[in-house]
Amino acid sequence: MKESVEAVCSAVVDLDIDAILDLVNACLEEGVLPLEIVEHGFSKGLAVVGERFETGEYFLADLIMAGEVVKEAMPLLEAKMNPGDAARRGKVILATVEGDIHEIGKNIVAFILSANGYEVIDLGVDVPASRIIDTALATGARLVGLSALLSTMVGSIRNVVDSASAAGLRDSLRVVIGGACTSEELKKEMGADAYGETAIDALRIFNTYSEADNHVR
Amino acid sequence: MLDEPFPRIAPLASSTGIRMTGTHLRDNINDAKTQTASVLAFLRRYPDVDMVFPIMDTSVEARAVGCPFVFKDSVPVITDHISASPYAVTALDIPDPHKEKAMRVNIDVVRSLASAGKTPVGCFVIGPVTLAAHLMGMTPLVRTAMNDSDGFWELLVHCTCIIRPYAQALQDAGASAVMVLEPQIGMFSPRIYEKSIRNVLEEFALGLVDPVLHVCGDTNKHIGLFAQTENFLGLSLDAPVDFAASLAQVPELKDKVLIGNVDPVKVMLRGTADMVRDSVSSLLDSMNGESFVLSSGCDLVPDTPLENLDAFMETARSYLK
Repeated sequence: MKESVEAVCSAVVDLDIDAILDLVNACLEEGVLPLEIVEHGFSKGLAVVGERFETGEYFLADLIMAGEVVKEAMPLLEAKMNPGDAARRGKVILATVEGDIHEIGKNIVAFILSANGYEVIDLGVDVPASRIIDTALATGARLVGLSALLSTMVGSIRNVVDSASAAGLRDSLRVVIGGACTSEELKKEMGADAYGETAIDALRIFNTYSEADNHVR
Repeated sequence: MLDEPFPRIAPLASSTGIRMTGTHLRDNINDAKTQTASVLAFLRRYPDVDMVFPIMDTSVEARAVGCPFVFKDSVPVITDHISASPYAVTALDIPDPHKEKAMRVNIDVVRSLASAGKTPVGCFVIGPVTLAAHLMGMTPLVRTAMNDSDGFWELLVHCTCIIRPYAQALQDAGASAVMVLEPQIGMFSPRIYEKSIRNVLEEFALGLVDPVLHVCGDTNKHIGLFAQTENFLGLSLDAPVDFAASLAQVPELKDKVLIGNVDPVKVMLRGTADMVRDSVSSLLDSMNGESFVLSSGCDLVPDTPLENLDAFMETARSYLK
């Protein structure tokens, strides 16, 4: 990995919000692609912050601050991305599940999906299942990404899956989960369709669904 | 409550009284007479508690300075913040506790309880960090704490200025202990606590009668610093903290009265009466000879099975015989 991207990663890990803009600018001036900065700078840095949180070295405030560091620099990258045809790959509904207010992971996924031709309908945080299903019905979106950090709120994922079934959408709606407390096992337990560990995983999963749906059409 | 003989008994369980009066939580939050009746019903069922509290409501101070709120499942929940700027918050007027309804209800409840019987009455106020989180929102608060230590200090000091007259009014109404609720402190690292929070709390505790610092959640990484935090006589901590082990590791804890910490959810709400008995017995055994108040790790929700609360009190009583 380039030194300049490593520096971005370190700034995220060190929660250095004062340095992040200069470091990202330096990467862009070197010709580093925005997606590379996201994957090897932001995502890798956030993963280290997450590990430190798990081991008790970092606290919830540190997690929030790491998100703020990334958020600070995101507009710089958005300005450099070529979103292409916004509806080329289809619509994705993104939401942090009801009872959970953590948004940085979801925002990174939203950024990457937008940059790769998806029309992202970002419902924000603490989103009830009913709103997600209503949005799917109103917009025709059939891809849903759910983010959850708090293990106490994983039941909200099940609520979305159950609400989709009740609305007659379960067979057509793809529910992808991600976030600190999610896992392949949780996906099975909650009846979701896929689990993505990183934002890039989420992109790959949605690409697979999008291509399959386009192929069917 | 914070003096000999130990152990004493004071579960944070007044909200269960609403089941004894058949009233709604929302009515108890809004009306002092309704709440007093519920807490007195709780006291009639459990007359041997060493201290009784009003129903815990951590939104009172924020509502009093104008934060919008809704009742969600009968609990007042702050729905928006005053400003993301610490300097806007420091410009807020200090509410008169006798004029703001949210505060007045609790003052009236404390007064009524204090004049009703022999059981000492405690009271709750939230601490400056938790109030700041209500007023600014969590993310701006974190940014301020980590990048603007002067702004953070001014913010916390102003929050104590908002809370202090309310605490004083509760004391004047008859409260003989003030529990300072700081559920948000545990989210900050011990480094931030030591650098920016501890001094403000110590200053705030001066002038409070029998001040207790209550922090819920896992505070094992902070407990050494809590032990060193001066002017608080008691520490009320949640179930993740092993009091006996902490006492062995942190000698300064001997200077505090430890209050807690039967698990309010896993044991009291979702457990069986047998689980409650086991939990209470082992806690009392492990704290034998220490300055200790048997309580719940945090506030019990109104739906806590009364047979579990019965088991809690019966086990404590039989232990004290």
